[in-house]
Amino acid sequence: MLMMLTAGACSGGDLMRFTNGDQLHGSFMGMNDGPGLVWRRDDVGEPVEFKTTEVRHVVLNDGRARKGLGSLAYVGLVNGDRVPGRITAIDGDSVKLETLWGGELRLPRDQVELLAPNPLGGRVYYHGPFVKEGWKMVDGPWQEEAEEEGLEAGEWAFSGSAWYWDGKDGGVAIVRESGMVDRSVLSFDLAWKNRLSVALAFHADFKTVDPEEVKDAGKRRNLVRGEVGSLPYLFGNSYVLQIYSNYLMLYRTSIDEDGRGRLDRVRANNNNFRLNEIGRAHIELRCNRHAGTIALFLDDEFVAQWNEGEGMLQERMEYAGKGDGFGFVVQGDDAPVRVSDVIVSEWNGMPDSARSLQVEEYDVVLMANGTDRYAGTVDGLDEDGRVVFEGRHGKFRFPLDDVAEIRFAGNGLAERSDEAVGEMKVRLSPLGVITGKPLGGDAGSLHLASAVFGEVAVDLGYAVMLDLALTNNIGDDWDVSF
Amino acid sequence: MYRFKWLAIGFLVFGGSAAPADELRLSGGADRLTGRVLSIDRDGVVELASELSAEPIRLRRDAVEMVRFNEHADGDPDADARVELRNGDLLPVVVKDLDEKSLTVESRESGRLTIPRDAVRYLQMGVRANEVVYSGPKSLDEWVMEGPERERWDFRRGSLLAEGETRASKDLSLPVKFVLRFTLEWEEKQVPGFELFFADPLSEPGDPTDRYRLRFGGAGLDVIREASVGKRYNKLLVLNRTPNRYPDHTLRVEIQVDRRAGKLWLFLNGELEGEFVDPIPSVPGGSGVTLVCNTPNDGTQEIHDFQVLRLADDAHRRHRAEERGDLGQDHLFSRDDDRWGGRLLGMAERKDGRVFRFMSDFQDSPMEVPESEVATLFFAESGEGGDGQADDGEDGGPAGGGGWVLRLQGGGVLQVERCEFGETEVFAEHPLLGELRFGRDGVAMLEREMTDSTEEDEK
Repeated sequence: MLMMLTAGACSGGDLMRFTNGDQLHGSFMGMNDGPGLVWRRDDVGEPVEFKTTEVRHVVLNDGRARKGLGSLAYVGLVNGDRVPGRITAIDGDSVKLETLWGGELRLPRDQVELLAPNPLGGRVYYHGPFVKEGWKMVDGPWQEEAEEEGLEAGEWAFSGSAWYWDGKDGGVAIVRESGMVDRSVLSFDLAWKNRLSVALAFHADFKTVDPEEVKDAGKRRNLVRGEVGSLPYLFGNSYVLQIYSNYLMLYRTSIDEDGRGRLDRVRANNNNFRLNEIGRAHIELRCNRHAGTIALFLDDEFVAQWNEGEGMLQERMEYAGKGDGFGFVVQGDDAPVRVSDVIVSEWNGMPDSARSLQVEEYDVVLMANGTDRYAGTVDGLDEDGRVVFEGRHGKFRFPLDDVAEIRFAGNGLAERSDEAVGEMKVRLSPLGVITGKPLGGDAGSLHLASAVFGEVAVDLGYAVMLDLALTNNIGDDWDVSF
Repeated sequence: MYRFKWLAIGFLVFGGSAAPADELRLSGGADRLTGRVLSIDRDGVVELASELSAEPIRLRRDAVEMVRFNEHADGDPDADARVELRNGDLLPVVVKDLDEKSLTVESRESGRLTIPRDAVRYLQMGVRANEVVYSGPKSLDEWVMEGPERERWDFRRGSLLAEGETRASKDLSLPVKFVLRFTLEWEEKQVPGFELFFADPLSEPGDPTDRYRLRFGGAGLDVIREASVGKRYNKLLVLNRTPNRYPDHTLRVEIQVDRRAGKLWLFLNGELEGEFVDPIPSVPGGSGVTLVCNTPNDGTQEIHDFQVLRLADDAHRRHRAEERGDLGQDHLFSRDDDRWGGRLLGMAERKDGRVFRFMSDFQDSPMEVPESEVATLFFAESGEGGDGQADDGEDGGPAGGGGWVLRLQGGGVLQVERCEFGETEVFAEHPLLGELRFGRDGVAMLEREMTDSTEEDEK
């Protein structure tokens, strides 16, 4: 079918991107058995059906869900899905959920890795990126001079639900100026090609320096875009974590009253950081401004911790992060990076993730108070909806409202299988991810066949994105434009 | 927590002679007196019997900075628990009983004490010093040295001396969790060259094997994990600690290894240099060490004070670092890192030993945790201090004038307002515990504590 498109002539708030880099605004109208994806634009007479094999993803309603789930509670599956819903029953065979987006679901117990009635311990302040709004690119006081020398700055590019760095000379940051609170969890998925050389700033205040002041003071000579000395001028008073393939380094950055940037390494850098070979990782940072603690988790495993404000009096450092912002900057050359699934939430202070406490033989319960934890066996829910738990020193009954997470024993879980051909992911706001084969549907509801819980009609009012090009190969998953 | 400051002053009258017992350091640092401390009264006046004077010398309250008692016994070996009080004071004790109102403890220094529960901040159970597995070197014969290598070794005054290039190995029966310490010395103007292989199965040289290697030389220091499968050499730590950083040509090394957790800690000259994780899932199971010396120009290196200890459980350190949580609750940590919040009811005797009885908000009846499985207890705070932050004890000192800090054998630390010294006993007044009595030989040191008002006076 030949489509005559008029630039700007569409009223839909949805965006579709294709595997060849093309993109189309309009309205998602549903999926047909085929499968085909139906799309409507005002400047096209009839809706058009596209081959789903050519579609990378669809962002719905500018990345904003039309309906709110009202709760962060979810169930985590072995296949990586996060199924939002309220737990109604647990027994040896299954976990039952009541969901707003898909009705009642029955999940085989061995497919359930964790229950999260109160995940993250607190509120989610940001989840994305689904749209560019709220993010900005930051270059430093060297910008004018660099341009005079013909050194063009690279740019971060937004595609789908990710920010991409295009691999040119590093040094320009992508930031959000707010979102973090005093006790925060900042997590994201990181993917890379070639060598990894990325820095993460957190609790940043982005205190800026007048370039003219810096120039007049003759301090400019050491400021070079992309080098470590540039970090204070990008992020102000902040912490910056440099992440390499097999090394970490944490810095305090600051700007003094004279506009001089300062960089101090934080002791207890850990040289045992090892990223996998597949080019992607899930990174979680927990930071407490009051206690001065900063902890890093890689793929849910504890990696490193730094403690400001401890030690001998003369060694104690004030917490350097004065702001609420965070950001990313690539420092190497030809080092493409993708940042996605960014979540900023309040932290309840739990020192370890349940994943890093997970053992083969026991279920682990972490309570929402951020301190208490138990190892034992989850028997089920009682008549009052409390979790019945057989601990090593007695039986407990936990109200679900008091439970943050339950991680089931590793020896009872099924093996994770690769995504089947033809599967897609529906992303629900803020934390849901549902995988299944599309069976059909319209603009408001999509029928999926999940390998875990069977057929479900997903109410797309709760969805923000449809991912169709699924693959574990980072090369295939990378937007070809970058 | 404790603030000390050099003070101006001192008056001294000398004469006579007597056998010195205690050492007093006076303000200014350089002045000292020896004798026998007879008393320290409420006003802080120190009375000292000295051979230098016919009459006891009375030193006013701000004259004495520190007293070191030279007649003392070793710490109580049975004191396997540590009590920290609300004001930060610390006592090594044996726990005798616990009920709703009080904690009863005992130690050789302090005798039996009944401490109100609301005076206790936390209790650590099962604290033991690291057990020594090996201490040497004792001779050349205990080490395996092949052929000509032996010629380059010597043993003198408890030290192994290596000339040039040579090696030696020994099966030390390294425990699963161990501490390995030694001191390396090298000659002035020589560049050291030293490697230590540990958790070494002592297999044939040259074959890839699972073990760790620490190497120190002209380029600095690194720690490597050697693997029998896959990538052979995996860097764990690289430090720019070149030999010229040690002007006395001496390096004290301590490596702590927890093979169960796959973690290592490195200390150089007492400073923690890093904690790192073995990236390879199957940790080395070897029980030996190999020393490899390779100095250029046949320089001599010396290895002495070589010790292996069993690494004690560090659960207490982890637990103390955790958030205090709900101050209105007691918290119990097991050795397996479970943590319960609720009400600690007390201790009870059972057939298999003593238990702690604990009532969680989520239980219908109390649970009973064997004493051997309890690592740490946080006690609920009553009344003040609801900000969730533990106080640092700065406001826990005695009221009025500057108090004293008693340091006991075995690591106890107590702030007291007044001390009186008898022939064999010390009587002290403690702000939380009231009147205390210690064996005199249980006190190691007495230090003067400054208060804000005194600091202001000094300014």
